[in-house]
Amino acid sequence: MSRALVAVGLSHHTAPVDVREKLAPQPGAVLGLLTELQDLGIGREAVLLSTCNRVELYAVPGPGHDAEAVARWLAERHGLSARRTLPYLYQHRDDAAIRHLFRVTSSLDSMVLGEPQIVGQVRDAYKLAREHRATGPVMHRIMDHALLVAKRVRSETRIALETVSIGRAGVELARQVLGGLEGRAALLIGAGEHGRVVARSLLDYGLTELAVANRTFSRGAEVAREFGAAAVPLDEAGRYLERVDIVLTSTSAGRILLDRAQLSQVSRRRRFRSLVLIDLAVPRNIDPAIDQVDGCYRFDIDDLRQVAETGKAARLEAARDAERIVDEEAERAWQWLANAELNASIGAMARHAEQIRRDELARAAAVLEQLDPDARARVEAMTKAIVKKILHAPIRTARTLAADGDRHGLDVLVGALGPGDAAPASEPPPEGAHDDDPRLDADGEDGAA
Amino acid sequence: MDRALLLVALACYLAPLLSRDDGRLRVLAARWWVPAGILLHVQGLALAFILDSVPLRSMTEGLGLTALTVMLAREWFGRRPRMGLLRRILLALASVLLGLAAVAPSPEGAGAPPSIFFLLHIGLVLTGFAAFALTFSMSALFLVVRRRLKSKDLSEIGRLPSLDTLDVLVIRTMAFGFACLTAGIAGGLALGLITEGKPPALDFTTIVTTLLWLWYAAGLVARVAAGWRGRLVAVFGVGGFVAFMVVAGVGLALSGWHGMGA
Repeated sequence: MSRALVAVGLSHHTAPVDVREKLAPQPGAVLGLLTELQDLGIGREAVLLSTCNRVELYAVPGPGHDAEAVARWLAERHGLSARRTLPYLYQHRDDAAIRHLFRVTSSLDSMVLGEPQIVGQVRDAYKLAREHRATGPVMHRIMDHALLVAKRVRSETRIALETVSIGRAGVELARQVLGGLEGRAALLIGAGEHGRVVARSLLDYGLTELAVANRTFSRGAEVAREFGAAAVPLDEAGRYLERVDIVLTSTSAGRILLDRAQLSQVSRRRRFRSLVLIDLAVPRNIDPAIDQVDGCYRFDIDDLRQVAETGKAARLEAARDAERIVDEEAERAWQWLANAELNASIGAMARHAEQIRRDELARAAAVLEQLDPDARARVEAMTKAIVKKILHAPIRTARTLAADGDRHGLDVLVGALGPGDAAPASEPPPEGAHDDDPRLDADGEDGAA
Repeated sequence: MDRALLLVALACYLAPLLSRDDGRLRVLAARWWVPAGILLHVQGLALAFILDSVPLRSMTEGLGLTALTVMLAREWFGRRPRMGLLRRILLALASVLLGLAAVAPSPEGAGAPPSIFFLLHIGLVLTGFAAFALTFSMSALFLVVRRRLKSKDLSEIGRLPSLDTLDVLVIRTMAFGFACLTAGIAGGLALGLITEGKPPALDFTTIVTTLLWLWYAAGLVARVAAGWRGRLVAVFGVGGFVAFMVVAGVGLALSGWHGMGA
């Protein structure tokens, strides 16, 4: 009996980028890989997840194959030496594979803990495999479950809410003062890297209008074009202070550009309407004494870093809750998969026995035809009862072995009584095959032969 | 009996305030005890109304109703995101009001049967007080958030309501309270003219209520005409309500509503 599910791959945790890039499939090559995996019988179902930080293959292995075989194929398929590549590849089996998938989808294994892109990447990988019939009942169930777990983690923990980047920290500080950014306007003074990062984040989070002022107008115009914003001459920036809601400074002027006296006047003219000032320059461009001005809220690069660091710590805290959810859901998914696998094994044994019964009846057909219909029916019922009685104890043993997690014992049992290879886990056992089937008790244990 | 119910309700309100931040008691209290407290609060007030010959005549009923309005507003505003701290402030405020209600002196003797004007007058004035209590809470929270931002205490960023949201809520609750108080005072005047043929005499309650009305009228005018906003309005909201609570608390404890106290 093969493993129910394996996860084979590498990520930023286990392999340097030069190894990762060698194993990353070319765009459009994923389908070919999945088809080949199935054609070779190494995997019955498969989903290939490829992002900039990981390449992972989730598969239901074919008969006689396991995670090692999948890992070897993956390496060799990319022209790599299995011996050299295998140390970089992790291999998870069964419940560990499920847990790994759930952790990856919930962004607990990501470089930036809690980042939202991974859910979409898993969904896309699954969709691609499903559309091209590379998935089956096991993968459908597990992938759907993984996406639900990710949703649960995001809704029940703060893992995705905490701020961890400078850009997002700027957004959060602005939102803490202004509420939403929709309908708000900002002025970016200078074209420094940090200023552009925060401006981009503000626009991503709904900022409606942006103006860019720079000492060199042509450079300002270039940055403005990048954001679809308006460029203004630096000496006219003062006029904008009265109408914008956010001011970002990111110049290399090396001196104070906005001082307390200037902002006091501006604040009065604004009737103390809130003005967020984010100073991303070092040396600073905004006078710290502006903190004393009503209606003005000044933050510098250290404040943004403080927010990002606090967010990282909070995400780690939230990750503990998320791990608990993942463990809980992985256990549930594994129970389902283990039961499905057990049922498939029982089904294989029952089908095999039923086939033997039919073959023997067919062999005796000439004799049976001489019997009257009533006698033939009694022989039919008797043989069915014999099969059920014979299977009763092995099925009970199989359930005990499965409950004890004794996979080897289960493999031996199914190998001894089954057709050789277990049927796919999804394939339901024939009616009456289960030892908890009431008909088995009635006919098999106590019923008439 | 009514006071006993109010005291039990008060205990339910205090439980989440006094328990540890991450304690299990706090989670239980927030989920079960506060709703149970609101239920007991309503029952206690209903009983007080039934036992009193003139509903809303006593300070217990007046303050109790104001506290209940604050609690209901807490449930309403608390549904918004990032309002956890506001919920706590409103819970603390309602607890103070309910505590005062539970220990306030009872009026003596039987009063005249209540008219619809009387109930309208008292109901509107109390709703106005409750709205100003909300103004106070929002204003206090505005000042807390502002102070944190100005002092670079950024650990709670993203968990607190934004300053502009609070500013809008302060003005809205202030305007609502002012409208209720205006209508309540007008109702009181009408009541006096109808029942006694003359405006009510200037007693302690009348003077305090009128001063409160003038205070908030000034606040609204300053906002509309002079463009006051942010810290100025918040300080105004906090200052007015604190002064009102001190003056009214002492005065009303001595004389009761319109001299109907101890």
